[in-house]
Amino acid sequence: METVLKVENLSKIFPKVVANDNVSFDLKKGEIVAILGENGAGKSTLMNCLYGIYHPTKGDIYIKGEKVKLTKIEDAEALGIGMVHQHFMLVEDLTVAENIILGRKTGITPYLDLKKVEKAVKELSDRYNFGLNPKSKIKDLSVGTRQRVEILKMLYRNADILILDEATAVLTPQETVELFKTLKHFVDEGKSILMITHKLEEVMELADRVVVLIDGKMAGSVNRVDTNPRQLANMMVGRDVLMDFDIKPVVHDNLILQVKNLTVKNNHGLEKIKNLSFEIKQGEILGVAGVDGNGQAELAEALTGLMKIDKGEIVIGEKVFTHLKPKMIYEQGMSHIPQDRHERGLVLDMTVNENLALEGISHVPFSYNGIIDFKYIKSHGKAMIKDYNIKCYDGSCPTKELSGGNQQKVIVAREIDRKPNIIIAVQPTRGLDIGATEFVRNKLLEEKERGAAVLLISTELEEILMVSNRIAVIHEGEFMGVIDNKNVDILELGLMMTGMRGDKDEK
Amino acid sequence: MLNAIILFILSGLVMGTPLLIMSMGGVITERSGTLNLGLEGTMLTGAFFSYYFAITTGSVWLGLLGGIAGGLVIALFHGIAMIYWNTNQVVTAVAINMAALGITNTLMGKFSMTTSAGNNISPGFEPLFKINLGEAIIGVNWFFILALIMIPLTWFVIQKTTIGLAIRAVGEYPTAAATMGIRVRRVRMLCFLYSGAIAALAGAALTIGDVRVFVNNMTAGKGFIAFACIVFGRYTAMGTAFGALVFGISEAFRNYIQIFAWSIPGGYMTSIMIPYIITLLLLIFSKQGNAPKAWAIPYEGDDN
Repeated sequence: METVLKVENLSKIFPKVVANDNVSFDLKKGEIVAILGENGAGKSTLMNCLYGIYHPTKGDIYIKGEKVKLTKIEDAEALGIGMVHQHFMLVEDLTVAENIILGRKTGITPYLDLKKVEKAVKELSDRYNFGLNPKSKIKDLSVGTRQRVEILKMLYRNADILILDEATAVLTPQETVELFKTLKHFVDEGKSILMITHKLEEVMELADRVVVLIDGKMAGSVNRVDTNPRQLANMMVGRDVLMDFDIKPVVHDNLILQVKNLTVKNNHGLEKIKNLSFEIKQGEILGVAGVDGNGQAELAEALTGLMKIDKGEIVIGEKVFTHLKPKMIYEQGMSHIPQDRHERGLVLDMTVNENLALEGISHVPFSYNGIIDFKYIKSHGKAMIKDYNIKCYDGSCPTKELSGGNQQKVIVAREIDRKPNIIIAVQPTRGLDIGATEFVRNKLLEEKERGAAVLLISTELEEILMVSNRIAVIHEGEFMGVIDNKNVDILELGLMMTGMRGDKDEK
Repeated sequence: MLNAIILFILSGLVMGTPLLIMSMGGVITERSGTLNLGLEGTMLTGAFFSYYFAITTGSVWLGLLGGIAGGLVIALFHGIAMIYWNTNQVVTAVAINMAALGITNTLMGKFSMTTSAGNNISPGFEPLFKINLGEAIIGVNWFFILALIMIPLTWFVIQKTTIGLAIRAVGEYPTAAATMGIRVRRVRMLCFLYSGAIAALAGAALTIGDVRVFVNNMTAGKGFIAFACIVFGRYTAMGTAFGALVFGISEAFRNYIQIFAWSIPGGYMTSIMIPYIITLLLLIFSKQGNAPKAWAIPYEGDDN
């Protein structure tokens, strides 16, 4: 088999960090190679070197047997390299065809011959069964369709080496299945694929070979058939990883949180949560799965008092707490791990100590009669940093200097250490690597064991399946079904995520 | 009656010529995602230098070129600061406008353009033809023709060319444009220089295209009005042109009030304010929005 891409001893050194250290691998025609690694392992840097965005400090890149120097994106494109970005690089206000022709001419003159482009796009789309309408605006398309536009953009530019960056991060299970089919089709046609991922099951399903990166170095390169998920996880993290959590059944009967006929409107007057009812028992985790943007954010904000409730009731214990201010809800023992840790969870310019003290600041022992006890805040910070293994040089370190995983640990420490009776956790592991993810999931399970009622809202089905006692699927502000987390049919969950009602409604 | 309507629209177009020209340049910059509040200062610079070079060289065409060159220098400083150094776009524009005001005023005094008989008269563009409407005679020069051509031309460039597509893309999502090989800062800078040149040309329309003298701060807020027209026009060429036309007509209306001494409440002072009041009302009651998503946000990425 012909080698289409070869990387030899590539190093990329930034002023402060070595992002890639002596990485070597190759990609053959018609092959899928996965680059597996944790956040910060150097995957993105490596891809950016291959796409002409960064220039390697050392080492060589060979494309189709020839040594090349990629100084800009056009160089990479001219050699047939195309990249599908994790965050879609599509202009929402433009049409599919306009996005695809962007940066190119349609003839000798600057005149934009959109008809010609639309025809070509249509042909290409039909060839791969993408079902795209070249005239639709991106903003009207679903996430899965947008990704097909991203891919088509590369095909239109005749790319035969495709780089996919965390391609399944935003897809539903069905969309993922479709994507994998497409990718296999590409490979059959003789294209080659380099996929960046941190998801082991993806690697096991698709890749021919796996290159594992750890701290910018090669931890190894193995054939898929010679490995298994556990081995890959260990290679990636550098130690044994907890892969399966033990979900203990709910032993208590008392309801901690009851939500009755909740309706929430956003500030455009649209109903984002429609007449939603559910309850969580002491020591139970209710997982809410669903595609992003189906009311998850509104549900969490309504419960925590950050958003106005239109109709319905929230009962904590025995008491009704429907229209309370966030602070009063907090005082009822509800903790919130917010979706956007930068916007809602932390004040990035403040120190770690200050962020840890932020919520309790108006209470003893953080302050007495409005006077802050800095000595206590310091010792409290020190203890928390130790207990929760937050990596920073000191509690006086500005929170923005911490890695994403450690920032999340600051929030988790603050929210959990006060022993809340309800925890609302929204996407608590988004963007975290395996180590930090494992930590956060473990903490949620520990809290549940202690007796907290946990509402876990996540778009990662895998995460929901790992820790929840029951699983609810949200679609357009309604639960499509609530099922026990036993022998769950993933495809059925996927269908519910797209709006089909489950028939196994538990009552 | 029909005659009066034609009179208003025509004289509105003529009065609004500098504004129309300038806003057609400005809309290109705004679409590329840069906030251009410096049109005022650029126009003033163009007005002064076209006047100055027309007097010193005796040629209106060299005057025009000199004016555009002056505007380009201002736009170059302004653009580099905002687009390459990511300075605050509002503060930079305020500085540019104040600098332009100070420089033109100082140079006016230094070059002794003012005599006891008033400011020197420069050569100017003669009207190409005159329209006789009975009550008034309207002179039409080629700035007016240019303004009329620029409206469909600007629309065509934005909507129907690959250049326009690139401009729209860097205004909406510059990072995506960059991954398609478009140099975001270069596109924005070229748009900015273009609108600078056009604003200077509009300034020349005030001096050598109209009254043939330069007066301190003679643009009197036209640069900001042009900006308001763009916002009112929802960042489209056609909408912006409509806004500029409305402003031109209200200016014409003001002039007729003054010329024919129509009596209105508040008299002269009210009549002066009419165009500005109409602009304000239009802005308040029009449907706004549609701003490019990356509008006034500096591009942080690498340009390769």
